[in-house]
Amino acid sequence: MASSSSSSLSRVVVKSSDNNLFVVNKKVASQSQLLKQCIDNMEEKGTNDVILIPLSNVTSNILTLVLEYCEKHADFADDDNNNQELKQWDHEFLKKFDYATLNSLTMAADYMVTKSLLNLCCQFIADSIKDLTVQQIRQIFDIKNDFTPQEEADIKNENAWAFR
Amino acid sequence: MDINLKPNSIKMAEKKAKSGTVNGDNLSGDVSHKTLEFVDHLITEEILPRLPVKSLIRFKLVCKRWNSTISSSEFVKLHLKFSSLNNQNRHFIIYPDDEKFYGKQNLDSYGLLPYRECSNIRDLVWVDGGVGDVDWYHIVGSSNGLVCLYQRDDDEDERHCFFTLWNPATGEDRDISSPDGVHVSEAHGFGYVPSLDDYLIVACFGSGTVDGSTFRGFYVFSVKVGKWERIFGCFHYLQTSRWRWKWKRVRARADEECIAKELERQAVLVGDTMYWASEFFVGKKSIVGFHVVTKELNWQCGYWSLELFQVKGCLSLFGYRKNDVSDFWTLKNPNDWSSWQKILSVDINVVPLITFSETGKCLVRQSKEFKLVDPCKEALECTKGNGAEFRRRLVIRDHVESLISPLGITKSDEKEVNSGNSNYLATNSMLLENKG
Repeated sequence: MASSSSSSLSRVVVKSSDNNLFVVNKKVASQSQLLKQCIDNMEEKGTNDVILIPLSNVTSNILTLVLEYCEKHADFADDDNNNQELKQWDHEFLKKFDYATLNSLTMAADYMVTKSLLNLCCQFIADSIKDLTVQQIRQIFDIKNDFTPQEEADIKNENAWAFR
Repeated sequence: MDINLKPNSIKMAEKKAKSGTVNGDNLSGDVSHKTLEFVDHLITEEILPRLPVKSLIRFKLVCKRWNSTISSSEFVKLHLKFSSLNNQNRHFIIYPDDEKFYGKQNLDSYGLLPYRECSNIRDLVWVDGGVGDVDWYHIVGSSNGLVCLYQRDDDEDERHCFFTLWNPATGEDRDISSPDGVHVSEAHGFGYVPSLDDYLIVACFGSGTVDGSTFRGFYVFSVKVGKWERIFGCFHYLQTSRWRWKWKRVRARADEECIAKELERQAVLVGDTMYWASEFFVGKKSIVGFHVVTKELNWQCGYWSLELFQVKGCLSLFGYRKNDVSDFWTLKNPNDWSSWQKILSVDINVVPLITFSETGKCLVRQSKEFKLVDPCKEALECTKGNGAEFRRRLVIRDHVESLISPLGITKSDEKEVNSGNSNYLATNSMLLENKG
């Protein structure tokens, strides 16, 4: 214990909702504000024990993805945000997911307060839904049309050009 | 491995989990899910504000909740914040005054050039609307998605002049006639003033340089209030001798007119001050500042010839020297005129420079290609060509797509005020306002 008395942890253990344990390097974990705050709290108390952080909302497969993202971004942490290589990597990273995975990943990013991943996911979703029809949007977000035909016609009339 | 379960960290994680109403089942990653099941705050605060205006207007039809969200003024502000950060929504709006620039005869509409590292003349999008059937018009300014135009239409007896506020993305526009309907504005500026949370047009009416009409004064139009106000400003000028600078206070009425006559047509708004280039001393350009809150005119002299810009929130000038070399300066601290800093020098006969963007990048044109160059990182000299032939005829402004209404208040605002609906985006927009 005395040898590591600098009161800083090098690793944390994160537990997924299905009880799998992930050993995570501190620099990687710090990409998530939720994990970072846990670590900071523990360091303030001066503990040298490895801490366990349970994430009751994130499954192993999603957590693996979040950590993959955090690992990549931790490598570039000192670089500026405009790094082309990282942007390219981000794009490739998201491209391979279906809506369901993207959905879970976005919510995990929100829950774990990983702002850059949340931004990335939301921008990706926005880009992929922007050209859809109203009907398709209702389907994807599982929304019921609660307008009367008259109300619908009014909105259409007000903004006729956008529906052309 | 030494796993030490700390109750504190668990408590925190659980607390977090409760604060978002996330249902654990949704996070199963089950690939059979065909729908996106997000909590509302993710949709209204993270996804919708990233959509282009055209999509948002269509998506008002999705359901009542989406319609009221998209129409609320809080959302409009949040969308603007996202839009300003996303270069996909950023453009240059161009007033066509020269067919050589486009190789196109029809000059009756405005062009939007995307803000991209590289673009082509073919990427210009022509926008309808905004312009009435008038004899003459030009861009006064562009701010947060609103474009202010000045239009002039002459019939046999008299000259009709009016301003138009126009949002090219939503297609909404609104004409604003001159105070007493007859005056000609010779110098004007438009922009958003954060400290007033308002859009203002500042105009100097009847300064008499074209049609011989007498000076009628400085006026300010507030979009919030919806009317013109005559400003009886006091003004100061900085007297420079070789040894010292001192501010002199001058009687407003008499000298206001002298200043008004020398103002160049377009002003640039930076913070709370509208700046004009002017030629108060023959052969020597000065900068005139009109503080829209304190209603004070200040002026400062000492440049030969200059153009003004707002770059990264700072007043910036592009001034010519001998041998066609031009310098670009930026005023780091608006309250300290000794904080002018030279950013670059460039010969516009060699570098095809078109304009400086608010983002700090330069737009250059080589044949049919446009390029954005960061002058701090790349040498502008790498681009070759003559910029002077385009620059003189062009009015070009930064433009960010937004939902901001030229009417100042949206229909849904009126409804909200009436029904007293509490708004779930209110905190967000308040944060935004404080920042502003």
